[in-house]
Amino acid sequence: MFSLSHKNKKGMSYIIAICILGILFAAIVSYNTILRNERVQMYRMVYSDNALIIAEAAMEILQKIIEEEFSKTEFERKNDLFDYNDLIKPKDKFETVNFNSKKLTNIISSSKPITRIIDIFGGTKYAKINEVRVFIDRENIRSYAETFGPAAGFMANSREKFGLINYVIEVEYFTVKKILTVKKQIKIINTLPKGLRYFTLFVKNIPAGSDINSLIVDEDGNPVQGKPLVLDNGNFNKEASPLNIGMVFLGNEKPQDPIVLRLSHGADRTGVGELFQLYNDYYFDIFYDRKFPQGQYLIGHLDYGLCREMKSMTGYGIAFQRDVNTSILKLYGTPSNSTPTRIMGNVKRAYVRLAAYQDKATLGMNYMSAMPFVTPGNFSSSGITPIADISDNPQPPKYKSCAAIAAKLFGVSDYTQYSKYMNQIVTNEPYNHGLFSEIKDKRGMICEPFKIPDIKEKLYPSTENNYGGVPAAPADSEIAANDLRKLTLDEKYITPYVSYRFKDNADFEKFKKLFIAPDSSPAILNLGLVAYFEGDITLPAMVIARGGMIVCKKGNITISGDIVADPFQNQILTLIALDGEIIVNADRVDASLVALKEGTKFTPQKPIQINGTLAVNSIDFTQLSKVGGKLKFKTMQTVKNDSPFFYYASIQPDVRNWGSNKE
Amino acid sequence: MRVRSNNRNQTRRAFTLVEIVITSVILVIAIVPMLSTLFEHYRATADIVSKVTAANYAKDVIDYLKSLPYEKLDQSFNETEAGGIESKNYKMLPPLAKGFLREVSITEYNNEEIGSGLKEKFDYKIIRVNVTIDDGTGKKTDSTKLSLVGSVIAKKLEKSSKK
Repeated sequence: MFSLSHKNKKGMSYIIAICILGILFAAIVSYNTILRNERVQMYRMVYSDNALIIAEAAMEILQKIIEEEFSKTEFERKNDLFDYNDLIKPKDKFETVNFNSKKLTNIISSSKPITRIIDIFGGTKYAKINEVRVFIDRENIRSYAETFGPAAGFMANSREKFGLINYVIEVEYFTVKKILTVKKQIKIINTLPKGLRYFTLFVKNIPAGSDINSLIVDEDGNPVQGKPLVLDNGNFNKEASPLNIGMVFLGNEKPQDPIVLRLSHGADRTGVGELFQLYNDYYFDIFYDRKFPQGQYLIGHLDYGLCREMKSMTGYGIAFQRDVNTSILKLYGTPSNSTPTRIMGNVKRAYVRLAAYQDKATLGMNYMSAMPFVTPGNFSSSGITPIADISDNPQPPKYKSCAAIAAKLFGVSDYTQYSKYMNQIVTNEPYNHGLFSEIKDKRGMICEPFKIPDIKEKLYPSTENNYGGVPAAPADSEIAANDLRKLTLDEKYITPYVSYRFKDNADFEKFKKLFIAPDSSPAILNLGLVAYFEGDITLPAMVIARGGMIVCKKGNITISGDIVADPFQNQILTLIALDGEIIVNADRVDASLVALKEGTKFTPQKPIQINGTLAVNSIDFTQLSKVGGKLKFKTMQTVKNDSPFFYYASIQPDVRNWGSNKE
Repeated sequence: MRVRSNNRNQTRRAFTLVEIVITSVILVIAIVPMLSTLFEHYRATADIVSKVTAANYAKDVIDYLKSLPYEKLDQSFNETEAGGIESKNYKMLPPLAKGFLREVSITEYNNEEIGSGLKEKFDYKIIRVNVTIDDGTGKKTDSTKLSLVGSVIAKKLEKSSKK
């Protein structure tokens, strides 16, 4: 049944041969297909690499364009590719900012460098830019306070925030599409470092031996030698909170050698002093005689800081040592608007000391004890040796706490208020207040912390700062670590925000053309941005219509005429000498002056009158005591102020720590 | 059940010469193009491997040059480098294998518009690296077409004088 003829056998052989041939054919085809696929993949790799190279070149151009766009932070904030006002919205109102994609795609595609690159790769027939997108996603926006928690009670400013700006470029090369995405950090901040916006006077480094207490006044509080530098915090921070008082920073050379500062509260008996608020009511109790007819208690004060009017308060049986007031710093306010000031730094204060004395019978000379609040520490008197209350039981004396006596003297209500006030301040004594301003986000971003060499120092300050205080990141921790003496302003910090650059004073005509109203006399300054000079600059008398910042990279800023703020505009001008000094040859300067470079020393030649902040590396106190002057803080520059024109956006130039996603 | 041949007397015959020749011809006709295709594919694959290698050699230089400061990047980095011979400028990079030839040229363009319709002008440099496979015959392979690499490094912007 199955027998095959020879012919059939031959036929079978053919079939087998054909099958073998077919298998061979199939194998070769299959192998070829594999090779082909492999080749296609390799081609895709090469094409993809080439597309990536085009995309990288386009990315370089795109970033330049966007950085340029950001530098247009003029007062008008006229931007072509996005609405600048969207950026400076408070965090809670911030929406995703999309840059004009169509326009950007056209710009990049027709950019000469890109067309040249595309020509290298064979022209637009093979390579093209499909799409360019730039956006700032609201999901990535963080305010500093939100990210790092409430920072020692300092008011969070929701306009100051940071996030990521995303650049996306899609390139097509031989039908292979490549998307390159780069993310960079964007910061929107007030360009004056937060730390400096708190201070009326900021002196980084007072050389050892400087006589900062060179002012001598007589018992009436009138200067007999030297002239004072009077600090007026104005309306700044008039609330009672210690977080909102005016601040002075006095840095010393060595932490172990504290500055001794003798303070007085000024000639006005209703004045206030550092850590010491002299309210009318505390000293001036019109019912004193009624409450204490026997005059058992007297209030006097020792050491430094006399209130000249107290001398005449015979009704109180005031007794005091006739020590002269010796302080160059005169901190004062008005009765209705007191402006307490904290002096930070490793400063030993000589406070006004309250003391209780015996009655008039002994002419108030029978000293009993200091009152408790002379000691830096909690105002509650526990642990402090009580003084005798001789009125209750003179023999033997019955001891009562200082606090109890003070309460009796002041009245419970006043005393309660006072103790509350003191407690607020004293318990917040460490100078390194947490002006927390963390810069890098190690959580939500694609920051690569291990690439930041000093990340530990930045994120985890040591358990003690140089003054032995409680660790807290101070203002602008990025540049100051935990020691305000190290606060610096350098080119790296400022330049991202710079809009216009000039060579030096030789370029002043250019500057004038751009920012000073034509034919105005005195010159009316309409700045509204950050201008940058490479070398020395001399500023003439000016009226500030629009504030901003003038930065001098290397050299001095000389103020040759009065700089006066237009009262109707109420703007702030900030002058920063990065590597030089600020020389004031004017009677009045309505500006914040910043010259923190190591080795420089502010040397006033005439009485200074600065309405703003004076933040300098050092001061020639000898010269200052000869001329004296007045520093008046301007509320406009406080951290609280969220006027949008104070805020500038920058894309951080340091990209080393930030990854790029290449898809 | 047994199966028998229908013709026991018929002697067994092998394939005739003609049959073998015809079969061989058919086989040759069938296999040769297949082998040829195979060879062609193999050659093409080898070619693309060379291209990938060449592109990598080019990228090495590009990445290195892009890491340098703009000012340092000048024509002293222009070099024609043959594989197997120590490079003047690129010693720190993986050495070029024999048979490859790498030509680096940097061209600077000054004061050009950053983009059409924008006022801002800037300087930039284009790095062009061309890696070819030199087989010693003076004939260069197709790889040259794909190993061209260009990149742009831009310098500071020069702002327009008008606000």
